[in-house]
Amino acid sequence: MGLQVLSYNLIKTLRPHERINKILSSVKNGDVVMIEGKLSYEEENELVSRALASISGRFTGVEVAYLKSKFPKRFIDKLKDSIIELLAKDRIGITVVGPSKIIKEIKMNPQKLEVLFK
Amino acid sequence: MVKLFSKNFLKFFKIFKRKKKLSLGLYGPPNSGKSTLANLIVKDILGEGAEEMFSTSSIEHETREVQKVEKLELKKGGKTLDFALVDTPGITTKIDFEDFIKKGIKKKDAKDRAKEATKGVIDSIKWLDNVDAVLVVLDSTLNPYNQVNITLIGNLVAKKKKLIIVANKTDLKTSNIEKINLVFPDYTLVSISAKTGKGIEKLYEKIFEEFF
Repeated sequence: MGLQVLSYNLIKTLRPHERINKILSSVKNGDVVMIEGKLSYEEENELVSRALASISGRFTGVEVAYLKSKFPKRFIDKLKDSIIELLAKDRIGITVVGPSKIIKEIKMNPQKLEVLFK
Repeated sequence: MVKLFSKNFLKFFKIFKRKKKLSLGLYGPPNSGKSTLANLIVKDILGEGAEEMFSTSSIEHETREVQKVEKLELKKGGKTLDFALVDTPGITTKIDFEDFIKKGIKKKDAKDRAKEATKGVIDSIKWLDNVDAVLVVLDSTLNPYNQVNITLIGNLVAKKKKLIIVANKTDLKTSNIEKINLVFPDYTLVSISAKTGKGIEKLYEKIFEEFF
C-alpha cells in the first residue's frame, strides 16, 4: 500500500478516460490517491461505475472524498472565496480516492477528512 | 430582464395547467428506505389492497434492479400528476460480498447478491438520464455529509433535474433532520417516515409545488 499525490497539472494534461485509468489502476494496486483539485461529476460517475464494474474478490470498490474548506462567515471572506472559485474552478480542494478493501471509512466534515483504515 | 419576464410568463400559464406527465425517480444510498417509500406511494394511489410492488429488507442491496410502476396519478387542487415511479438500487461506491455473509447470507448467495447489486448500482447511475425529477431519499439517522450524497445531488443539479430531499426514518429516535438541512440548505427538504406514513401528505404537496 502506498500514497500517491497527483498535481492538478498532471491530472489536467490527461484526457478524461486516461485520468480515470490512472486513478483506478493505482487504487486497484492498493494505493491511496490524493489529487489536487476536484473531479467533475461526470468523472466521478465514470470512476465509480468503472470501479464497480471491476469488483472481484480482491477489489471491492473505492472510497472517495473531496475536501473543500468553505463556509466562511464574513462577507469579505465569502467574496474572496467566490473570486478564487471563479478563477481556479476545479483546482480548489483535495480529492482522496482509495480501495475500500483497506479503507474502512473516510469521515468527512467541511474542515477535514479522516481516512480510517481497516 | 428577459429571463425574469420569461420566467413570470411561464408561471402565469402554469396556473392554467391541469395535467403533467413525468418520470419520478427514487434515488439515495442503500437502505435509506426508497422501496418502503415506493410501496407507500403505490398503496396510497392504488389503495390498501394493492400488493407490495417493491421488496424491502434490513440487509443492504435488496433492490438490485431498476423497477418501474407506470401510470400512477396524484391529484391535488384540480391538478393531476400522471407519473411513472422508478425505484432504483442504492447508490454506493463499494460492494463486498463478505458484508452479506456477516448478515447471515450463504457464501454463494452472497457472491450472487454482490454481483447483481454491482450491476444494479451501475444501471441506477445510467438511469439518471431517464428520469425527469428525483426524490433523494436519505436515512435521517445517519450523517448526510458523505461523498455519495454530495455527488448524487451534484449530478442531479448538473443534469438540471428537479429534486426534493426526503429525510426518511423520522420515527427513529436518532433521526436528525436539522443536520440534513445544514448540509444541503439549498434544496427543498421534507421529513417523513415511510414506515408509518407520517409526513407523506406534505411530500405530495411539495411534489406538486416543485415538479408540476
